[in-house]
Amino acid sequence: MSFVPLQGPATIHLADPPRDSEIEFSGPRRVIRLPMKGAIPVLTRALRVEDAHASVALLGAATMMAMKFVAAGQLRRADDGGSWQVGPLPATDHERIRDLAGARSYDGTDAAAAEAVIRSLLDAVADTMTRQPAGAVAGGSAPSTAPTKPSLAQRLARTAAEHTADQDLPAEVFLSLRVEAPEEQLEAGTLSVVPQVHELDVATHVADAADLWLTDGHGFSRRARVSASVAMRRAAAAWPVLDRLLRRQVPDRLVLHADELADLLETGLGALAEIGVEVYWPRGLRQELTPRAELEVRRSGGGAREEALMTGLFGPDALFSFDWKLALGNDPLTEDEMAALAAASTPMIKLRNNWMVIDPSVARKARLARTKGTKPVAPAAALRAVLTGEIDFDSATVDVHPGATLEKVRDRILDAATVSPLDTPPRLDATLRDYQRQGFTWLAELTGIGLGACLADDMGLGKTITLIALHLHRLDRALADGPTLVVCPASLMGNWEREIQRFAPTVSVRRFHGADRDLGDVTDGFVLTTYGTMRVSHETLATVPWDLVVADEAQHIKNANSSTARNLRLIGSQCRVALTGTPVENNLTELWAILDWTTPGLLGSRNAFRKVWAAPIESGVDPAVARTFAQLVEPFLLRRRKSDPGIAPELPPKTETDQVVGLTSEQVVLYEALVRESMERIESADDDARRGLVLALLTGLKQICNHPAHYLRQPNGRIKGRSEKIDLLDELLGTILAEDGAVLLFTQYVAMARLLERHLAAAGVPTLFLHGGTPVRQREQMVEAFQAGEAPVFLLSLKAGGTGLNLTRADHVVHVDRWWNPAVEDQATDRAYRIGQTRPVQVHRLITEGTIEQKIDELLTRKRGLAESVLGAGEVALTELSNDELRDLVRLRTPYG
Amino acid sequence: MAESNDPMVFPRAGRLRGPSARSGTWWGKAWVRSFEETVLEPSDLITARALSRSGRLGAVMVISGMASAVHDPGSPTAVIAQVRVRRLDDQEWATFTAEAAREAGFLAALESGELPVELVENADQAGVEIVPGPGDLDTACECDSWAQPCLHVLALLYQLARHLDSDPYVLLLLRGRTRDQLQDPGLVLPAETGDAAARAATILALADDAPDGHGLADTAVAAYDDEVSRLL
Repeated sequence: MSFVPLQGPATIHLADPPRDSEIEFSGPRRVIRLPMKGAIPVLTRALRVEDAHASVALLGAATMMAMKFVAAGQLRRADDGGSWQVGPLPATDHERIRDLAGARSYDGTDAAAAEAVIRSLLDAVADTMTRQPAGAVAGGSAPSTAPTKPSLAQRLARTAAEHTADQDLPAEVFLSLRVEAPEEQLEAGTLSVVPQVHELDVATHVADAADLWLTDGHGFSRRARVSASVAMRRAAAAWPVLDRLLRRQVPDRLVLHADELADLLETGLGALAEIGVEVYWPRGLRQELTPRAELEVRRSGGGAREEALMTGLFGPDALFSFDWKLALGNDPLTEDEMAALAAASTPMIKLRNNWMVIDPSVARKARLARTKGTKPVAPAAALRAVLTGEIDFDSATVDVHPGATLEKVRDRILDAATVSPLDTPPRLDATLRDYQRQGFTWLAELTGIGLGACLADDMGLGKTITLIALHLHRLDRALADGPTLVVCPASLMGNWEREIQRFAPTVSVRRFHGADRDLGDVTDGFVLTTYGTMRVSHETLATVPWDLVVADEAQHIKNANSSTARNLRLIGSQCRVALTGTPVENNLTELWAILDWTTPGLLGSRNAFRKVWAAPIESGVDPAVARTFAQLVEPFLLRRRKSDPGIAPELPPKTETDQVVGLTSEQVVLYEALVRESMERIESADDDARRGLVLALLTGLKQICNHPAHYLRQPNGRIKGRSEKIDLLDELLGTILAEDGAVLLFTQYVAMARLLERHLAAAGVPTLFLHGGTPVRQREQMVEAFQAGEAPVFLLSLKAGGTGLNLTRADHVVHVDRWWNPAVEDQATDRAYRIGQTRPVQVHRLITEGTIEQKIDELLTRKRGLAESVLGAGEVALTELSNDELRDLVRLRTPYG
Repeated sequence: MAESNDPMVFPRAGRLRGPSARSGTWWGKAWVRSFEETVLEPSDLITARALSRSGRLGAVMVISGMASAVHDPGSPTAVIAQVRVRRLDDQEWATFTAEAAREAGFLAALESGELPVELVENADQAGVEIVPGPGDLDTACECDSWAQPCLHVLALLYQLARHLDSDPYVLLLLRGRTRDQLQDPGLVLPAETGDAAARAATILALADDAPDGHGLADTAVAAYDDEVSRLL
C-alpha cells in the first residue's frame, strides 16, 4: 500500500450503500482518496501516529469503536434491508458515542458535527465488515414483489427494538423470601417459601422470581434471571435448604416441612439476615409471643410488713425467685397453653384458634420453665435484672419484669437521686446546700434498701458533711445499729475529725491509728482509720458490727487485687459508701473495683465484667452494651461537677478549707528538740539576742512543719514519706488534675518551693515556678503560659505586693505554709480569684496539727485579744511575747503527747 | 452490549513463581488431558509448562472458536500461536442451552465460576460434549517447528487452562457462544454477522500492536496494512 498522509485534514464522503463510502486524506503535497477497504487499515493504526491531524484521529477513534461493536455482534440490517449498520445500541453505547464526539471535537468541528461523522463512519465500517451485502441476503428473492420479504425486515427490526428495550430494563436484583401458609398446608404441617426479586435500587419494584422465567411485563430485563439465580445461590450457601430451589427449572417455591421450618427459625433467619435476605411472614403467623419473665422477692413465711421487707432487701440473706411465662400481646398464656406449647413437636402451633410459628428455642424454654418451675435468683443477680430489665435464662438473655414489690424497689432506686430531699438531720450543726441535701437523700435512700453507693462529686462540694448527715440520719431513723468506720488517707484524718466535731458535736469521734491504737468497746459514733492501718488491722476492725463503712478517696482501692482492697472487703457492715473526687466513670476497671466493693456482685466477677461489659464497651462495637451498662451503674454513682448548672450558683465564689495534717515522727523529734533547745537559750539571752533567737525559732518550726528536708537544708533529700503536707498535696493534686483544674501553690520559702518543684517533676506533673528573683519579663511569660494551660501547677514564693499577676485560670489555691498576716494570704488568694474568674475558687490551707501553725490559725480565726495585737504587726511582734506566752505558742500539743 | 464478552482478552501474565500449580478444576484438568494425549514427545509438555509460566507469552485473546497469543511480543522473533476449537453447531447449542435451563442453579453456578459436573454429564447424555476431545482441536503457529502442537501452542493451551479454571465461560466461548448468548439465545448472530465479528475481533487484536510510523518506506506499516486488508 502506498504512503497515506495523516497530518492533514481527512474527510468522509458518504455513499449508499455505506460500504461504498470513501475517505479523503490530505497532506502538504498530495491528496489521496481511499475506499473503505483501503482506509480501514490506515484508520485502525491512526491513533498511534503522534502528529496525526485531529480529523484523522476522530475517524481513527470512530473506526476502532465500530470495530468493537462489530466484534461484539452489534450488527443489524438497516430498515430498508439494503445495508448493514451497527446496532442495536443500548443507551450506554449512545452515551459512549456522545462522549467520544465531545472528546474528539476540534477547531471547526463541534461535538454535534463530530457525532454525525462518527455515526456515519460506524455504519460505513459495519457495512464494510460484512463481506456479503445485506441486500444479497434480504433479496434472495425479489424484495419488491414477494409479500413475505418486507415482513422479514420488519420482524428483524422488531426483534432489534425489543432487544434494545430489554437492554434498558433493570437487570440487577436482590432477593427476599415470602412465606405462604394457607390453612390446608398448615394442617398438613408444612408451609411454602417463595423467592421474590427486587430491583437493586428500587426495593418496591418486586416480582416473584418465577415470573422472570415465565412471564413478561414484570419490568425486569431477561438478564435479571442471572442476577436472581446468583442471589439464590448465595442464599443457599447461607441456608442450605434453599439449595432445593436451585435444583428446580423455575425456582418458584419451596415447601418446608416441620424440621426444615425449625431449622429456618433457629439458624436460617439469622444467616439470611446476615447476607441481607429478608423473610416476610404472613400477618399473624409470627405474632408477638413474648417471653415474660417475672422476678419477685421470695417471701419467707407470711406476714412480713412491707416496710421491713424493704429494709436491707438486697442483704445476703435475701432470696428472689424468677418465673418465666409467655404472653400473646399483653395476655400471658394459661397453664394449659404453656403445656400445649411445651408438648408441641413442630414449630407450627394452633393457639387460641390461630396458627402461629414458634421459635424452637421459645418452645424449649417453655418446656424448661415447666419442668424446673420457678428459679431462685441470688440478690446481686436480682438487682442486676431489676435495673437492666434483662436476666440470663437458659444461656440466653431474656427480658424480665419486676414483680410488684421489686418494682417499688426499682423505682425507689431509680428515683433516689431525684426524690424531694429529706430534711437536714436536726443534730447537724450546719445548713446543707440544696445539692448536698439531694446527695444526702440519695445516700439515705440507697443505704436504706441495703445498697452501697459511690458519691463522686467534685472536690469542694462537701462530701464529708454529706456523709456526716447520712450518719445522723441513720441514727435518727433507727436504721443504724453500730458505729461508722471511715477509711481515708492519713493526711485527711485531721480534716475528718475537725468536720465531725464542728458539724456534729454530739457525735463521738476517735482515731484508730498509730502504734497504741485501740478500738476499745466502740458502739457508736465515728471511727477514723487510714488505708495503711486498715490493711494491717483488718481483723480487729472486722470484729466490730459496723453500720456504715466509708472509703474516702476511694480511688485507693481501684486496684482490686491489692491487699488494701482485699482486706477492706473483709470488713462487714450494713452498707458501704465510697467517696471520691476523681472521675471514676472514665476508667471501667476502677469503676468496677469501687462498685464491686460498695455493691458486691452487681457487675459480676472481674473476668465476667471484662468479658460482658468492658471489652465490648471499649471496642465500641455495640452502643447498646454501653447503654445497658449505664442503666446498671447510674443508680449507684452520683457525680456532680462544680460547673454543673444548679451547682455553681450555690457555691460561694471562694471557699476556704483548712486541711489539717499530722506530723511524722521525724518531724515530731525535730520540732520538740528545736523548741527545747531554743527556749533554754531564749530564757537566758539578753534582749537583742533574744529577738534574733525567737525569729530563728519561729522560722525553724515553720520549716519543720513543711518538711524535714526543708529545715535540715537537704535540697536533694528524700521527699516522700517525711511530711503529711506532701501526702495531702498529692491527694489534692490527684483530684485537681483529674478534674482538669489548675492550682496555685503558695509558700513563703523558695527552698520549699524548690522541693515541691522537684517532687512534682518526679511525678511527671508540669509546673511553673515564680519567685522574688524572677525577672519581670520572665514573670509575664510564665503567667501567659499558665493562663494558656501549659502547666496545671504554678508554684509561687512571693512576699506581698507583687506585680498584679493575673492567674484566673487557677480554680484552686493551696497555701503550703501559713502567713502570719491574713491580709497577705488574701492578697495571694486573689491572684486566682479576681474579675474574669468564672469558676468558684477553692482555697486550701495546709495546717499541721498541734503545732505553732495551728495555734496561729486558732488565733486568727477566734480573734482573741492576743491575736489582734500580734498579727497586725506580723512576725516581729511575736518577739515581744513573754517567755510563757512564747512557750505556750510553740509547744507541741496532743496528739503527740 | 454494555460489557462485551467476545473477545475475551487476558492481559499478559508476568513470570509465575512457586510450585507449578496444576489445573484445579475438573474441567481444567479435562481440557489439559485433551491435548496432552496427542503430544508425541512427553518432554515437550514439561518445557511447554515452563514456557507458559515464563511470562514470555503475550496477551491471550479468545474469540468464538479460537484463541491466540503472541510469543515474545515486540521482539523480532515474535510468532503467533493459535488454537481453533470446533464450534458446536446451532443444534448442539440448543441442546446444551436446554440442559442448562433445566435447573436454575446451573446458571448461578456458571456465574460463580463453576461448571456444574451434572450439567456436563446431562449434556453428554443428550449427545453434546462441551469439553473438547483431541479431535476438536486444531492448532497452528508461525514458528518453524514441523510438529504440531508446537511448544508455543502448548504453552498457550496450558495458559488457557488457567483461564478456564477461573472462568468456565472461556470454555463456552471456545465452543462458540458468549455468556450473553447462552443466557439469552435470542442474541445468537446469524452466520454472516458472526463471521464479521470474528474478523473484527482479530483486527482489534492486531491494532493493539499496530506500528506507529507514518508508513513512508516503512515495512512494518506495510505489513500491518496488508494483514488488516486480508481480513476485510
